[in-house]
Amino acid sequence: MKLIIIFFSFLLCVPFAYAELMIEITEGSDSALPIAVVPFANKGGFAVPYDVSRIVANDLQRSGDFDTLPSSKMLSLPEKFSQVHFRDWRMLGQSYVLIGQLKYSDYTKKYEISYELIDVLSQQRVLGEVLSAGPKGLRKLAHKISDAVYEVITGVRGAFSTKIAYITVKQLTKNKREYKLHVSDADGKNDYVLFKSNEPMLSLSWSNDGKHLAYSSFHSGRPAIYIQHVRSGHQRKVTSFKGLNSAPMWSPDDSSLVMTLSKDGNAEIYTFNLSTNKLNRLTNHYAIDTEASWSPDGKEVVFTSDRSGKPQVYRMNIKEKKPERLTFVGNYNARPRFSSDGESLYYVHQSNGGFHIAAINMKTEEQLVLTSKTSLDESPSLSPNGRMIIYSTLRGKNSVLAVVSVDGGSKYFLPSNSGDVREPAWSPFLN
Amino acid sequence: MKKSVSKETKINLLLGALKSVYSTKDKRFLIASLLLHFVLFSMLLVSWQSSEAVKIRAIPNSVQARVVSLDELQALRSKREAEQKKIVDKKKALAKQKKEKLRKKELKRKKELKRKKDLKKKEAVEKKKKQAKRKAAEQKKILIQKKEKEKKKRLKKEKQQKEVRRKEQERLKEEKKKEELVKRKAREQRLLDKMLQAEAEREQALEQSLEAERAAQALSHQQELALAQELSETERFLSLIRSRVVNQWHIPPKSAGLSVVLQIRLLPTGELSSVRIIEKSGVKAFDQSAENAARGVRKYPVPEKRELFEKQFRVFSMRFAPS
Repeated sequence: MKLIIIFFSFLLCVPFAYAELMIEITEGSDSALPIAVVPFANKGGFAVPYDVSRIVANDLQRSGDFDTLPSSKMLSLPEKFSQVHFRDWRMLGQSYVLIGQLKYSDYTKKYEISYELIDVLSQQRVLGEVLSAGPKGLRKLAHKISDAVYEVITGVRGAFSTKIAYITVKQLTKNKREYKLHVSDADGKNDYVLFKSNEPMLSLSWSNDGKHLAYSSFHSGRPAIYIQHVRSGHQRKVTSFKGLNSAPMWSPDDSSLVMTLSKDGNAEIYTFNLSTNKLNRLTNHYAIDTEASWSPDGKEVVFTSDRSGKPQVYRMNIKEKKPERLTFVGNYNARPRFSSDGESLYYVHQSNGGFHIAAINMKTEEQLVLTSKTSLDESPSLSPNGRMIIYSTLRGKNSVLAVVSVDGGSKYFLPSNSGDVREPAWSPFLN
Repeated sequence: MKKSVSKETKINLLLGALKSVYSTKDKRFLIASLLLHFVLFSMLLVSWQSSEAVKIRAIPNSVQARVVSLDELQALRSKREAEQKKIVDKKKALAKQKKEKLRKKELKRKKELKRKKDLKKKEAVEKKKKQAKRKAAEQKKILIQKKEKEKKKRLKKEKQQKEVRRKEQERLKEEKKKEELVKRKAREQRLLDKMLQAEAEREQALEQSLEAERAAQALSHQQELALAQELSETERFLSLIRSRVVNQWHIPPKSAGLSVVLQIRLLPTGELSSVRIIEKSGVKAFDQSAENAARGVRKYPVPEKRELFEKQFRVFSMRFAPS
């Protein structure tokens, strides 16, 4: 009898179990995720060439996805997990705390850094590592920590250890200019000159293995496309046809370059196979077709063409060779670049009298202007994790490099002390 | 006979001499004199011949007999026979030879005839062949001409068909172009509409939020309570909880399409007792972000009525799925 009563009681409970309240959350906070990067403890008080925790905090702040807490606002500076007072950090509204220690070994002449990432809300350690590097490798090591922190929290690989390439232009005399091709860390630091010339250089493109840069240069007296090995500096001339040789862009498998040539009388898009040196003409129109770039699967290219009367972005399948117009809003849409997942396209868009970086969703065809506050924005290049876009923009009298997040939420300028800075190109992941 | 010849000769000589002596002027006299002389000489000749025959008559040869022996006669006969035989043989040989010659001649003639016949035949054959060849060539020529004509006709037809096809293609292309233009315009219009709509929505949302802000500012605590009372208790607390969690949720990038369901246990004070993932998204960072959002709410707004709390808010679920 007791069993029967229990059974019926259970049955009566079932409807209540099914009726449990379900709250649907479809939106999130607009603000960045709060994180505290506690200055790493210097065990021994020795000299350190770089402030590693500062570099990490800057990296995370620049990404736009994190909001770092200034050290001046920290209530304590814990060095290890046991020293973390969660209540304090929770009071400060922090979701994560990054702590670490730094030691130096006279024997190995290396720094040893141990760090821990702590989830304040779950009060658990979510990441911990011990790394070592020499004095020169400390910056790289800091970027590595940033990458690891970014990935464990967001699920997206960090792009702080990547490089950027860009061109600087300096007016030497009235009629003489100096063009320099620079390579630096993604934060603009640690830069060096890979090549310099008194003739213009433009349209930088990284190979997908990160070993080479392709660009267009006039240093031989006429426009030509070159490939340069980033480490050795070895330069190879790829094409120097009559007329225009410009806008090279590596295919996803690095086997070919897509480029603009005017050897047949008009600016057209071609692919150039780097093994066979064979050209494949893609466009054939009396209008100007230029600035092509590949889709992530390498089956399509997007390019700028004024075949409709004004510069607009077109897409073309490499085999079918039938162009399809993608942009319809505005009189100027140019220099398109695909996102790494191929779902979005970023390009230069003219509106309200200025040139801005815009994005279009390939599925919904919705357009979003990302950089409405700057003008004369050009040459967008996407970070390899698809989260940031580097571009050049006019600031004062000179053009500088700026970075904006793909949702337009965060933006910063890269410092420069060498005149005009143009044509940035973000490298792929390098390891 | 000899004599008559000589006489004629002489006469002719004489006539020749006379011709040379007399001039043409005396032709008539000459002919007359000649006739006269001819008559005279004829008379003379006739008379001279009859006198001479008498004078020079020769003594006829009489038969001379000689005695011969029988053997000699036999020998002579044999000799004569032999001679005659020889003559006969010779004649026979000559006849044979002649016959042979004739036969050979005949053979040769026949051969020649045959050769001519063969030649004729050959020529006829050749002629026939030539005719056949000519005929074949002519036929071939006709055939080629016919073929060329057909080819021309075919090419013309093909050209016409090609032209028709080309026109058809052009028409289709034109239609397609028009269609694409229409589509493009439609798309452009759609995009513009979308943009305008989005803009309008944005403006509306902004207006609404401003309105709400203004309303919120304007509303006193009393009014807020009154408004809350209008809503059902459950809805009110549900809305408050959602708002607190939304503020705490930092959606990781690239989370579109992900969904995670958490089970929340609260204390009657509104404090979080426990949070448990009951449906994972498959992306650790995303699940963690939802869990942190739930944990991030310091105190959940819950009804004071114990019964309602126990019924709806002691344990409930939250689905995190970015729109």
